[in-house]
Amino acid sequence: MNGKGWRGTLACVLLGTTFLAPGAPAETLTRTARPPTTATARQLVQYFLRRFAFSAPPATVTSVVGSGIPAWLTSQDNWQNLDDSGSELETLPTQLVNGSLPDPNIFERAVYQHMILTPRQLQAKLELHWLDHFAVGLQSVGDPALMYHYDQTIRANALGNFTTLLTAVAQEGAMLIWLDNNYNAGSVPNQNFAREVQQLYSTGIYKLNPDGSVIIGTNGQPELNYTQKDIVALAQAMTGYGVVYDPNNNNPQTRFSVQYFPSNHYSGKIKYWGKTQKVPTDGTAIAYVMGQMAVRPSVAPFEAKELLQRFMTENPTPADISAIAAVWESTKKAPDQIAQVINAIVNLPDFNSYYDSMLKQPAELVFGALRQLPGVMQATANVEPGNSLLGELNGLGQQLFYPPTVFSFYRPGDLTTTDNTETVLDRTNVFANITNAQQSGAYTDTYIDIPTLRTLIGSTNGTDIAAYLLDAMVDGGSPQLQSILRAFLGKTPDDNQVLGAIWLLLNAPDYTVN
Amino acid sequence: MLIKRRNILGSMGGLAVAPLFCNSLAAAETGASDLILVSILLSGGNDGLNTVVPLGQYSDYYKLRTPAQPPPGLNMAYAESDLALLAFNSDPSVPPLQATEYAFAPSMLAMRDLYTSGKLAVIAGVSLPLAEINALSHANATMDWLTGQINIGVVEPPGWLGLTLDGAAAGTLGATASLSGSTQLLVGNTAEGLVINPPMDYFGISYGVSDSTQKLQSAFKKIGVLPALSPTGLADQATLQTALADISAVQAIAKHEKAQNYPLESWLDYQLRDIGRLIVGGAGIRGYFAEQGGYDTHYQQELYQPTLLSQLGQSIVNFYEYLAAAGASQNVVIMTMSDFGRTPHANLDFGSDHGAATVSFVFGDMVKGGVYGTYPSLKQFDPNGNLKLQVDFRNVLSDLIVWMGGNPTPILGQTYPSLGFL
Repeated sequence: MNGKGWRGTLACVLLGTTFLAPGAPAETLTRTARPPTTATARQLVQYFLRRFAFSAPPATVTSVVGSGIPAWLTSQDNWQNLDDSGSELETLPTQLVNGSLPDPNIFERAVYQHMILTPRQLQAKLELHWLDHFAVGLQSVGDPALMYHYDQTIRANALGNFTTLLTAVAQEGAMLIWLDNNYNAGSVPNQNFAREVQQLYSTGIYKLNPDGSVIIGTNGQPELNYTQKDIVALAQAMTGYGVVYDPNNNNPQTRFSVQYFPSNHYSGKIKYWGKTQKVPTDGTAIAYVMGQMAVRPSVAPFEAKELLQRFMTENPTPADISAIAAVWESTKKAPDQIAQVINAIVNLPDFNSYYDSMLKQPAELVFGALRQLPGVMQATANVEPGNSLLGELNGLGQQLFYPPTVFSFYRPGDLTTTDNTETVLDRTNVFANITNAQQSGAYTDTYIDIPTLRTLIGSTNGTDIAAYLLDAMVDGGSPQLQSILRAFLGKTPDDNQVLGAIWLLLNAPDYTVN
Repeated sequence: MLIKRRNILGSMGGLAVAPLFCNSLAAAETGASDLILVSILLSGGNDGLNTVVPLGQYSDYYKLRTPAQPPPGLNMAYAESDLALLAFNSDPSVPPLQATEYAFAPSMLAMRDLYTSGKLAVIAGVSLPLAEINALSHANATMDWLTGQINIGVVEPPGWLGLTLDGAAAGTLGATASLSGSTQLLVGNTAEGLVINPPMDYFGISYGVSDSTQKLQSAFKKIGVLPALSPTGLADQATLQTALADISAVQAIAKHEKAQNYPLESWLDYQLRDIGRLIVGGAGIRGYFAEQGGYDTHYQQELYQPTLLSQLGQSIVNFYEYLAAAGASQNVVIMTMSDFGRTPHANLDFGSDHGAATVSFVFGDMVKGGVYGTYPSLKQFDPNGNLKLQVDFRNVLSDLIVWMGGNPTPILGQTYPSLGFL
């Protein structure tokens, strides 16, 4: 679908036929300060959809309350069956213009558009997780089409098998460039990828017990998963690969390929992890090493803990890590390994006890607002749909093509580092943009669509509008918050007042939690 | 999440946003001590060997840094002739052309001038202990530097500067501030880090559609003091309250200290300029954190590191000159730290990989200039083939903590002898 002239109202895409009647269910309006275990069935669905989707509008919540979380998960696990055709707002460029891409932002924008619009929400949420996990930055990669290709590989494998995912990621041009394995050669190779693929992407630094605790050696020190000699040998083993651009191909999406150059591959003896390795010399060396790497003993607890930290709690219990690591290990040859692990996390007995215990990532804050309310990505003569999302995410420190370091946007278990005096003020600015756009001549192209929202609410009464917004954005909100919002909206609020109410809720701490 | 100052503000209930309307400049006068430390993290692991070249080991240096014939511009080994103007001895009074012991990288003319002033300490052979160096992880090493501890599996450990300033008298804005976003160094048991993204002039709220509507502002203030429904929400709310309370003080300083002619050529300049404005404006903050990234030079190092080092030196000069012109430099010390050093040998990408010992700089009117520690041998390496530790990183921190008036032993876990640069 071409962006010119497109006007997509998210509500049309996201909502089913069941609309929430004016005035949300009574239980959502009477929530008081309470322990998480007292969350209502609707609130637990809202919580679940915040964690495993980019949130959902009230009608979808109602639908999932009716059909149940297991049914939603089953449909999401079979993501190939979910029609994704409405999630591509723009046609990606197929021709270079004067040797340059027509619009470098279009590739990154396409990823954001898709995360918001796709019905394959579980896959999109795992896509974000793996983009974090395998963070790669355009600032080094240079070619946004390479980044887009990288994202597509991650998306396709996001709910699949980890060995397949790791192997594919390691051979992506973006990864080769980002961690300096591009044209790496010789006996004194660049060690960057060989080190980080272990530290960050698979085993972690230290040997782990199944419950995620660090194994302490007889010398009282933690046991490492590798030695410095291992790093050098692994780097030697993975030499010989490079990104090649075809000068006769003018298509920015297909003009590159990763090729193997036997003369660049280290030909000496290679010994790592305590034994001499028969590393193939036919161009499958990276796949060979990744195949070994992905099933090393520490991978299961390392990845299990990280998934728990992203999707359940930043401080998972050893018992939960053990349980999820066991599922990881038992499914390591399954094509849907990651989907099975996610299902196991949802089924942990204490999953619901972590209701509202985490903070939303910036991407969740912004994408959630656009999905819970009818967001719109509006193409005009001057802007492309969703382009301002790049600025909004940048303003909050999580522009997906520009991770600040190899650690991604925050280290697992350290999300609170994103919450500080500057970020809470930055939020006011980003949400001002999203709620202000319609009023100021569309200087931004992504905003809340008030006419559609009013249709969904079906009432001009301030109390009804408040109830809808509170249910959509903060699981109902406290009586005090409800009172403040009703007072702010008055009897029949105008559009500015409705937008003001949305801004208030977006900046309320009860919206920030996850 | 540590929310000490925020908790205090939170306990004020409806009055929590009251400081919004106060001019807190006067708060600076209440400090019991006025020593200020500005810490700069050179993130990525700075190659100390190409920052301070040991002229006495030049032939070994040259061999290590030229494993293959490099293309033009990529040779990691500096020519001796290029180092002559930047040479220095342990005695800062020896002029460059007579010095024979060390040399700054050719791009570090500004740093050489700082050394000549007698106010720059060069600490050679600084490193994490070998057990931690074995991992050679950016995350681990950075965490260690910022906390003064070897951290394995520790969740949110406090920072050594935050612990040092726990309980210290401070102005309305608290004892510590980060201009880089990270507060790891600054959070103690009671101290916490104010975060400001430069330029500080924009530290404030955007109401959007109803910017001029008092009704919206009033409702937002009410939401700001409502009890959030979860502990996580309460913590976020406390952060919001702190930010709201800090706005007027930050903006007052921003309006008063415009620093209009401050040279701004790098992101570090932006951070240090605002730190300078806060200091000159009397914010009462005693510990600052700034960051300069890009030192993870695995690939074609000479295209990147010289520029970074040039910016570092010039940024410190700019900062110092700004403070000195305002008569505010006497009690300020700047220190640099970096994850780790890099491999003594260059790789075939004409870069360097994660290594061990590196150099740290400490600069200020109160600093005794010179070289501290011993430069590591370029013939004998640690078990990983890297430059051997000569000065435990915690020894450097210990001297800084003592200077700030703190007790380093409980913070660092052991006692270190003074290196003597302060």
